[in-house]
Amino acid sequence: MIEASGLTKLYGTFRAISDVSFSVDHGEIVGLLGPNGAGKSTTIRILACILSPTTGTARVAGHSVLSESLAVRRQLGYMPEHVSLYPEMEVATYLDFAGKLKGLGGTARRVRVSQVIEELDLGSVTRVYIGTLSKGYRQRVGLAQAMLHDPSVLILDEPTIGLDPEQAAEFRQLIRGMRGNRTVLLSTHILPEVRMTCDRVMILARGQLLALDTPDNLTHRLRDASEVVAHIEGPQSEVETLLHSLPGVHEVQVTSQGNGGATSYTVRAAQHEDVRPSIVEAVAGRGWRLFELRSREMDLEEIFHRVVDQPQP
Amino acid sequence: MVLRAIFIKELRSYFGLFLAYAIVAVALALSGFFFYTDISFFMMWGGQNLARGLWEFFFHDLRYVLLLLVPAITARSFAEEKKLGTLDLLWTYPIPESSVLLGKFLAAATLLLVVLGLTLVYPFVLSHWHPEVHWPALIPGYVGLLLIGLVFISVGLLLSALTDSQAIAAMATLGVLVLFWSLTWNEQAMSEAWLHVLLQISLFDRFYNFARGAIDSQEITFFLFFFSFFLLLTWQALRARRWHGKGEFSSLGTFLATPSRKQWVTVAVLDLLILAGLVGLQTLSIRNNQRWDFTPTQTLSLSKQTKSLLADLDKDALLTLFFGGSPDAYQRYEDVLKRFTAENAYFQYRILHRDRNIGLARQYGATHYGTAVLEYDGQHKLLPGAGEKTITEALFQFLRQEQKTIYFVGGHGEKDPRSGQPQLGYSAAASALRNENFIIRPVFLARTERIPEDAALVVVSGPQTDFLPDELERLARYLSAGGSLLFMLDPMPAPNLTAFLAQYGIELDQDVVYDPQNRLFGGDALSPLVSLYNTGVEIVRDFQVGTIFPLSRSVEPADPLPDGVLSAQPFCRTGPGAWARFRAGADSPEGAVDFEGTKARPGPISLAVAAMLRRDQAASPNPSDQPTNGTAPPASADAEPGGRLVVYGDSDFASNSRLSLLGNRDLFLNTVQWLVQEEGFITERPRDASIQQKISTLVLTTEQTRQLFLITIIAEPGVILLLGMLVAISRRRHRR
Repeated sequence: MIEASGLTKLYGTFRAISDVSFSVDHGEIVGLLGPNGAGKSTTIRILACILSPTTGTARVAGHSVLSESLAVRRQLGYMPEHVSLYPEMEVATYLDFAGKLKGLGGTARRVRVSQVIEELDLGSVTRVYIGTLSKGYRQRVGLAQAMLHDPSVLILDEPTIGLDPEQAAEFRQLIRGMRGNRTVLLSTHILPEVRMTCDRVMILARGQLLALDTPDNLTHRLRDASEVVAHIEGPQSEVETLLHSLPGVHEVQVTSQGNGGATSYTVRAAQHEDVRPSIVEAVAGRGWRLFELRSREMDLEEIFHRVVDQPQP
Repeated sequence: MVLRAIFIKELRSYFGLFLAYAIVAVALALSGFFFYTDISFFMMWGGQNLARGLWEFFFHDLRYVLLLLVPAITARSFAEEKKLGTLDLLWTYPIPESSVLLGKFLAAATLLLVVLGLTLVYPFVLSHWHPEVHWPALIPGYVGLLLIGLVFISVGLLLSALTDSQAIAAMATLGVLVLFWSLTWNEQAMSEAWLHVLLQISLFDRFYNFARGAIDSQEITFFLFFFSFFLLLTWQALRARRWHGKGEFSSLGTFLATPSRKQWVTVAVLDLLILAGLVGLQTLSIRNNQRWDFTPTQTLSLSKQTKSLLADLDKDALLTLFFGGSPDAYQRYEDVLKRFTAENAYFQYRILHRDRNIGLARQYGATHYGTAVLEYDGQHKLLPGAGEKTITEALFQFLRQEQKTIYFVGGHGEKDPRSGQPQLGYSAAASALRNENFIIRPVFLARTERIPEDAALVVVSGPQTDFLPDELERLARYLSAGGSLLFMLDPMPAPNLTAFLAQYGIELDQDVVYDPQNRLFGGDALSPLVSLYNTGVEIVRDFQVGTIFPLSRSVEPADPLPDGVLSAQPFCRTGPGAWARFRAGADSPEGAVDFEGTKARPGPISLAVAAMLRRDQAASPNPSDQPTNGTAPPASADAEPGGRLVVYGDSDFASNSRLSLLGNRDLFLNTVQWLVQEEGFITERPRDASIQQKISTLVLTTEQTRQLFLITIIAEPGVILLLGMLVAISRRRHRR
């Protein structure tokens, strides 16, 4: 549904993105992650036909954003960052206006406008000026205008920014509901959001695409060690020495000091080594008490930081 | 549909915005103020020429209102949307940039039309008090204002599309427009070639003819091209957002390093080509210019006399104008010269800067800026300018070679054709006659046995003393031989003259004409204004201009007419509100009534009579009892006409200080041409720009002036402001 190949954008001499290529399938929800200034907005604005790439091409819904931008825009709903709408217009008037611009004729437009109003629960604010709406409502109006012409591709730039947790959850629910019907590309820097909503994650940093995969694959791919957290009551230095001596263990760290009780240790071992049974055995052999033993999964945040902090090739 | 949606949305946002109402109200207050001061100015200067002058000034002033109004309207159109970010969102919709641009352009144009429409209240109010508002004459002014406004809008849209700050957009628009306005300010520093080019693109100078009441197709195409080109630039600026980068213009180095420089260069080349094309089209359009003159008296077209003269031109005539004054003069003259060439291609002209062509100027003796030289058939003539009147007079002299001699009688304190004195001199009249190819000579009746043979006309211009019987005898002989006499007699006792004229059926009373009603603003009741002419008399056939006769006496045809007189017809009459007041001690004839303590005859009063004498009987000036109707048209064609005689009850109307007032000059020259039997030259002559056209005295009472002030400056803007407040309040209520 979205295919980008070799997208590069220069602002003057500044390289905003450099040779970005990826593709998104129909019905997929893809999250675009990256720190500020990574090139997320530039990528999104190229796909939404606001900007042209300096080199490279992109096709959205089968049309080139360069030569068939009108056809692209007919298939595309876009919701900008800091949803910018006309503050002096009423919600219903605005949606009607947007419908006209999107080429919806009389009846079809009225039907669609009332559909999105219902879908996004905007019924109570149809006659309110957009300028006086709360952030959450404004966000919904922004999504409403993007969905108005039933586009096959939705591009959302930071859709949940500024929403309270409840609103954000609702919003994610809404987007998850589109899986399979619409292709959604959303940029965000809230990591849990990606895990919760997206099928795949795309990580951009310094204008380069560093990773594009499912969150699970990414975790798997990036895992270079297994970590075990153990809660042990015993003399600290002896415990440390013992843990170190176990086969496969690289590193032992004291995570928290037990005050007369158990001390928490983080044990790092080689990637496919499960050191838990040997820990149980060794601790029991010394007569120390084991309170907790668990394997720690890598979370997306770590993956993200790891990917982003990777030295440039 | 997209265009319409954008257009309606833009209009709604204008009309939902208190600021827009405030801007319109300020613009209206300003134009109301201009109108009010213009009309005050006009009343102070005699309330003349309402048909054209008032509106010309008003339209020129309205340009300044547009200069301030339009940047305020257009500044927000793109800048605001860019700042809000809504423009980017718009570009993700399946709509072309051109629809957005045209929608916004049309919305701003509609607001402009609304403001212009609201200024129509002024002529409407005025037409209530003063019936002579000539509506068609307003059309070119408004068309011009609309066109110049559209150009302003296109410039404003461009600058609004280049920035995301409304304030910067407004200031930059104002700056660019002022630049176009001031292009020709420093005309002294420019060569004629440059001035010519700059005048072509000087928006404000191009407005000149619209304000005067004419629409030229070349000006329409000029403005069309101008704003089309700016719309094109705006369109490109909107599209360029996709490929240009931030900081591209920070230095030439960074610009050259940017990948989009190729696109910039392409656009620049394309624009230059389009510009060249437009200039080419404009050149074509100048060649094929079509003028529509909406002025009530066709002021902006060549006069009948000029046209008939040009029709006789069958050899090359070359006019060289040495300019150096203001570009206004350059343009006005060129406008006139173009019309001459368009009428007859034998007439060619060139306009040279005097200081840059000093050798040629010396050779011709052109010592002043604005001097023109007309060359024709091996002769040349220096002219004090290149106005229509000047050129036509020079052509007249070249083309009408035969010269007739006019004798001015001297010896009785007559007004002197050689004297330049404002009140008592007739030099202006003499020079006007010379321009019509007459020779002016003096004659002293007391010293001459007979009037010279070559006399085409003898003029008696305001004698201070009575004539001797001998002198009158000579005049009578001359008249009976088929000569022509022109008497211009001021109020004074002159029994001999009175008796002499009575023989020819012309009666003079010892009176002074007093007209408290019909007079020029600033003039006194002793200067009656004549606007009633007996168009059956050749002199004033088709004459529509007012004339002024300061300190005049009545002149009436006798009833019945003496035998030797073929006809005697009055042709200039005061309005019915005038009075002929009799001098103390003079015999007051029948019908005299008391008027403010003196005996007087009520108006209308005749101030001039033209008489034709019978050839055979002219020699016997004895009154006959045979009745003849004085006001009847000239008698049967078989009676061969003899001498001609015109008597005016005033000589001041042709004096240096009055000749150029209203139609005085034409009336004087027409009288002379009739007397020398050159009726073909009785015509409507070209006028100086300063000479007024159609008299329409504009006098508003204090109460009316106060009402005008209230309506134009207070009420109309106030209503708009109030509307804006209502809108703002209703919107505030509407909020939760």
